[in-house]
Amino acid sequence: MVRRLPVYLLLDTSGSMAGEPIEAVRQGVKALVADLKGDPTSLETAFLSVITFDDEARQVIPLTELTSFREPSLDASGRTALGHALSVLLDALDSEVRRTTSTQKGDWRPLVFLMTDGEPTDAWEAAADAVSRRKYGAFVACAAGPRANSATLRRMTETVVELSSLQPEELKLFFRQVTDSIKQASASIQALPPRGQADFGPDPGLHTP
Amino acid sequence: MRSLADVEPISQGVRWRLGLPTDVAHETGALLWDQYRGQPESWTEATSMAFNLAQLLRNAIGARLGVFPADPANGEILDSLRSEFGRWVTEFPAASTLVARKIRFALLRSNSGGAERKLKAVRWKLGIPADDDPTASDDWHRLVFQGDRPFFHRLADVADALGLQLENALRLRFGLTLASGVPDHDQLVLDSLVSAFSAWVALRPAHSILVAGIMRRSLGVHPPRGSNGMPRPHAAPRIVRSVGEGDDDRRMPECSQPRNGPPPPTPQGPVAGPPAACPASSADAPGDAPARPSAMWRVLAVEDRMDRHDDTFTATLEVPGAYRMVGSRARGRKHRHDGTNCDDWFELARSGDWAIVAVSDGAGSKRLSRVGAKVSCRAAAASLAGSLATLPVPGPETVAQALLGAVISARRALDQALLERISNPEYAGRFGGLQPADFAATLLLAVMRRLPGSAGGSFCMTVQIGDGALAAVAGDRVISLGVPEAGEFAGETQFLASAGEPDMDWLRRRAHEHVGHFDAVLVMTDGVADDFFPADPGFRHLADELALCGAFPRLGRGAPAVAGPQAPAGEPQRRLLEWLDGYYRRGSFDDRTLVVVTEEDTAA
Repeated sequence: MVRRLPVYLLLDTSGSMAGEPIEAVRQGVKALVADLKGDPTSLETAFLSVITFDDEARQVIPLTELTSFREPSLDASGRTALGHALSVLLDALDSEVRRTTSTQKGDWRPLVFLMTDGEPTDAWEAAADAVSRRKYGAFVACAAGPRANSATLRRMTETVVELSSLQPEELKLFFRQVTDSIKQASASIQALPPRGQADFGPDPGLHTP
Repeated sequence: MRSLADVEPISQGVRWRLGLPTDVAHETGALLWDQYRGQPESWTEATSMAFNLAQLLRNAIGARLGVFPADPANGEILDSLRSEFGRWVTEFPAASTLVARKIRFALLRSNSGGAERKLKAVRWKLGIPADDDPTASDDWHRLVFQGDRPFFHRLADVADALGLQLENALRLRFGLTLASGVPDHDQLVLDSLVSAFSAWVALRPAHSILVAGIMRRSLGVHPPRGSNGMPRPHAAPRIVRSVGEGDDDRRMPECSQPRNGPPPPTPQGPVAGPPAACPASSADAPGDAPARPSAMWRVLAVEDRMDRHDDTFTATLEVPGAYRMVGSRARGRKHRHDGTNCDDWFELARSGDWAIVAVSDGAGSKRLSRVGAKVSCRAAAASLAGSLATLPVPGPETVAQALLGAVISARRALDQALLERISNPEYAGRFGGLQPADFAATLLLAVMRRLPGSAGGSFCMTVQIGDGALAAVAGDRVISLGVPEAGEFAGETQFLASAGEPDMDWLRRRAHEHVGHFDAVLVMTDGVADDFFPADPGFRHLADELALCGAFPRLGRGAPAVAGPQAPAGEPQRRLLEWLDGYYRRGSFDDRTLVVVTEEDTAA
């Protein structure tokens, strides 16, 4: 059984993403998968899951290996149930990511990428605190556009990137950065820090502007 | 001669036996096979079936190597079988070893030298991606087009030898004796070849039709002349499926029922391609060709001259009449891809009656961890060689003292390595301020000596800091001789540099003892331990692999015997290295180091 590098994409599909932005996200996911398939370490280790959230959150793609990954259909409508999305993430981390035991090989620490363009419309604080207590290889949150609030995202992770608009170029750039950090993480999976220094994972290659 | 109708139940039984899709329920298939096996002619027919089916693989490989004429009608089908064979080799380390051995042996007879390069070239040509040597394709073309005649003539032997593996595999499945008569097979490996073959048959209707034809021919049914590919009407008995047996996954797709397919091929004749009106069911559709990671891996030399480690290293050392130690290490795929150094190191030493092994894995995240690995192994081995030689009373307590001394020496060596470099402007310019953590590496130590007296077992003591594994294989048992200090996720481990101030309490928590005989003590870095996780049965499989690769006569009870005329010549440490460097596991990128200690016969 191979040790997997679990990668979770949490994507905002609320109404405000409709039109060009959601299309850019769709293209972004597609490019990400195509790009990772060209990288041997990623291809052998990275497993991808997609969680979308609008009025409610759902794991549209469970943790899947790259070769059998099919892009989900993404439609934008409704509000921004970020809290629910985080609960879905916690459930997925519990049920899908393997811990090392005497008979089981543990996975590499998971990578999480969260993209949202607005304020949460449900109760999210407790879930955010629970999420912030977990260990990750990297947790990158992206506040996309002027209505997104990076202070909200900082409650989950220190690594927050801000996009000034929802222009396709900006979203495309974000997905390229996500791709790079997955590649980098899978390239350095022999290099994760020892226990006791677990607070930093591999440098995600993303910086707060 | 049988009619098609007579043959149908038999072929269903045979299909069941081979794990091919059948038209009948599981129990019915088993019953039909049992009935058939009771018939006197079944032995010769099964022999013929194994031979004829194996010819497919032999022809596929021969055509690929350019020594047999290509079959224009079935070229694509045969190439797909060849590709499935490559997948099987890639998936099972033991298969890879077996196939390498067969190829090497076939080529050996050409006597024109360069056997290893030739092996790689042949593997490359066959699409077996275990070695991504970028020069393999060039070697192939040079050998073939610049007229290495002896090599070219031996390629037919390669095709024969590999075809024979499938024949033996099928014979074993049919309960027949082996064609070669040489007991160098591993039942499990050959069994997995039958599974791979069955998977290939189920892949497309055309494969199934081809195989069904060969089976019928072997069962004594010949096609009517001049039927020209038209289905021949017949009255095959419909075998009633038992009610309530949900065995649908074993059935053929409706559209590819072999008994309605085109007539079987004449011995020389080609078979029609897949019927156009018969699309493969979605479960059988191969879909997009899966990306092949193995084809993307590069092999780059290490450009950086600073503290360079060789790509591979192999060594052997004996304690006469007591032990043989064989160790190898190989740079991991990831490091080859990136052109970076191997971070592993090992040392073998001897001191009087004692055998001493030190193994270390430098932390991947630290740029000078390879230095830490090397100096701590050397210091620990030297310290043990000194202290064990002058041990006043050998026993658990004094040996533990010696191990503690070795760990402390290794820590001092880390400090020394840091001191030497911290004032060196070249290092300062590259790394800025160096710290002890930059030399982070694991450390695994094992020492052992034979016990006096007629029983003559071993006393063995070990200590482990960080991940990797120490274990003894004795008969069917795997005895753990260490506990990896690792976290709940992969990649979390401890290192010597962060081990605090070691004292006897610290050592006792990490030390293990084994008293008694063993077939092998295995000391390995995480790169190997991870591929054979969990230790039981993983390390028993590892011991089997080691016996199969020919480096060791026999490890553990029930391990396959590889002695005999086909055992390849060569030094065990080189064979160990070939095996270690050659096996493929998905997601296995790390440097690999393995030391094997076996008890030598004191009587010898």
